[in-house]
Amino acid sequence: MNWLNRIRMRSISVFIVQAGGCRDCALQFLMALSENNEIKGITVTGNPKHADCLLVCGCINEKSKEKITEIYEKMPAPKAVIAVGACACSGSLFRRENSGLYTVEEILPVNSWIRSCAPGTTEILEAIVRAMENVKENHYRNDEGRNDL
Amino acid sequence: MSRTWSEKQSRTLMGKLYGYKSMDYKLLLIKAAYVEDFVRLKYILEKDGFIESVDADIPENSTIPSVTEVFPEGAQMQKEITGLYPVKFTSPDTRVNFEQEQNDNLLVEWGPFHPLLQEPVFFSFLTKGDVIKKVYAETGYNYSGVEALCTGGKIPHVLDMLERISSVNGFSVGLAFLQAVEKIHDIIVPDKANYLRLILNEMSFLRANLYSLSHITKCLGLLSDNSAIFKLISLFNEATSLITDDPQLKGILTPGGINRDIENETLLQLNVILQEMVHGLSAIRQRWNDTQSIIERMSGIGKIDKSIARAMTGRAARSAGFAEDIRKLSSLPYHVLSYKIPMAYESNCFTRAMLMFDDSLLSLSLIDQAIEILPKGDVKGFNGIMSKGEVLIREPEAFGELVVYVSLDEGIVTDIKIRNSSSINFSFISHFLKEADLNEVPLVISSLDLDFSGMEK
Repeated sequence: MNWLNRIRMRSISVFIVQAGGCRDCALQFLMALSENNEIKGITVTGNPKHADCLLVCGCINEKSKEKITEIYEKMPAPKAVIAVGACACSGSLFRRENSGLYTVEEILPVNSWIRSCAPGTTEILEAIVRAMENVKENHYRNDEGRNDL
Repeated sequence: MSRTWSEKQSRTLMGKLYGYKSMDYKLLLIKAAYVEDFVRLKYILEKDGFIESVDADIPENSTIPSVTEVFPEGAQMQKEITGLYPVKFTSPDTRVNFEQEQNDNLLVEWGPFHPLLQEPVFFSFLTKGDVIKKVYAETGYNYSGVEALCTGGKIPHVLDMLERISSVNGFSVGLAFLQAVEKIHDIIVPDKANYLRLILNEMSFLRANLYSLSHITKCLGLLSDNSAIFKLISLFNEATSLITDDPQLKGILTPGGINRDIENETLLQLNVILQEMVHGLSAIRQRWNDTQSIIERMSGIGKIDKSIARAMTGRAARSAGFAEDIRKLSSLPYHVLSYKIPMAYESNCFTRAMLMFDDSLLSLSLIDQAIEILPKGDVKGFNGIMSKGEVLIREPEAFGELVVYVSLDEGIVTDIKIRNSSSINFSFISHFLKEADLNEVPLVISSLDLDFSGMEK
């Protein structure tokens, strides 16, 4: 199936979820796509059924948690999940005991983490490509195919 | 005091609010707090700089009349109170009505995550054909509990959190909070620090306006203009990299001033880079103004009546002919700079987009003027006296008026309430989406500059 992976790597559809928080991570991703005119292989899709990669930004609360899980289930396998920014990775300053916020890792199997606040544009693109390179259908069950930037 | 809320008390409360409304007062903020077994609601009203308040002690689990009958701009603040305190307001549940009215119409659910929405918000549209007949918008997907987390926190920690409240208005919220702290503690901010704060504040407005324009271009499908706007944003990032690594300008503010001096040469370099934007912005503005198809597409949608625009803030009000100068409210030295508030006479998507260009150009002009007359001296203020107090600050943010209420006790934040411009403007969303086509929704919403992350705290 290597040929399929090669084709998939040339055209990556990303579904971006701005779960809550300041939205700078989502803006940085849009900036990354627009700034680098040479990037043609990564596109944003509005339909989870067309997506290869789920980008989760911001703090996840009870309401967004349900919707994110719903979106993840609709995505076809093999799929990659990337936690973008400090809020998505750890809850950042907003996470305290009983604050009702979740990290992406608590609700989905994550392939890549970008921990900075706010992440750089090239870091996001690199994480997407690396996650898609390493993801395979059953990887998330065995904790393989994970990257940490 | 009585443990039940009576009809007579409702009439007295509404009578007071109607009285202020008839005197042209505007609702600034609704503040709620627990006082013994009651929930104390404080309606803070304003007219020409005079602030009045109406208090009501509501027993728990009572239902009181909705303020939206008098001040429709209070709908979102009221919704927030319902979520946090055991108080209900007598507003009809529109969602239930929707399901009853579905017979001839189609219920279209949209969101909360949609590629053309800037932030999560869930819409339910009751449509006939493609035309929207009723709108129900549900928020709460952005809620991160900032206000609750700030209560009991120390000033630097609270500042760190407030700067992260919104990517586009975080700097303004942090600045307003610091101004409250400085007012309570009697800290004198040096002149140079005030000018530098003004420059940084205008830079944050510029960034916010550029992102708003990028969303408009995306919704219009003008990909080359979208790319041109993003080039301007990368120019902005290049300019900010001379001062800080963070384009959101986080971590520069400190109580009493700013935490690092910025040399004049650096500021001049920054200004040269920023002023390069003037040509690019003016060119796109001119092209849109000369293109009939863009005018036709945008000017027919997102219209706001003057009667509604009067209660709104920011570009929504200014585009309808209300000369709202929020910079005048600020304690920053805006009064020494020369500027004219951009405004239009009919509020629609096109005029609001044109104001986005004008506001960006105005910010660039103010930055240029402030750098030219920048005074010399320290950038850190004199230590004040730790004291107790509460203060209400009104400051400009990129999209309208920002109101921050802060209560401090010996350097600890005991209460904080933030009301940004989107809390006001969002309350009217069902008015101007009514009778619009379904495919116009992203464009109309982008032209309103809603900043949900600053609103859903």
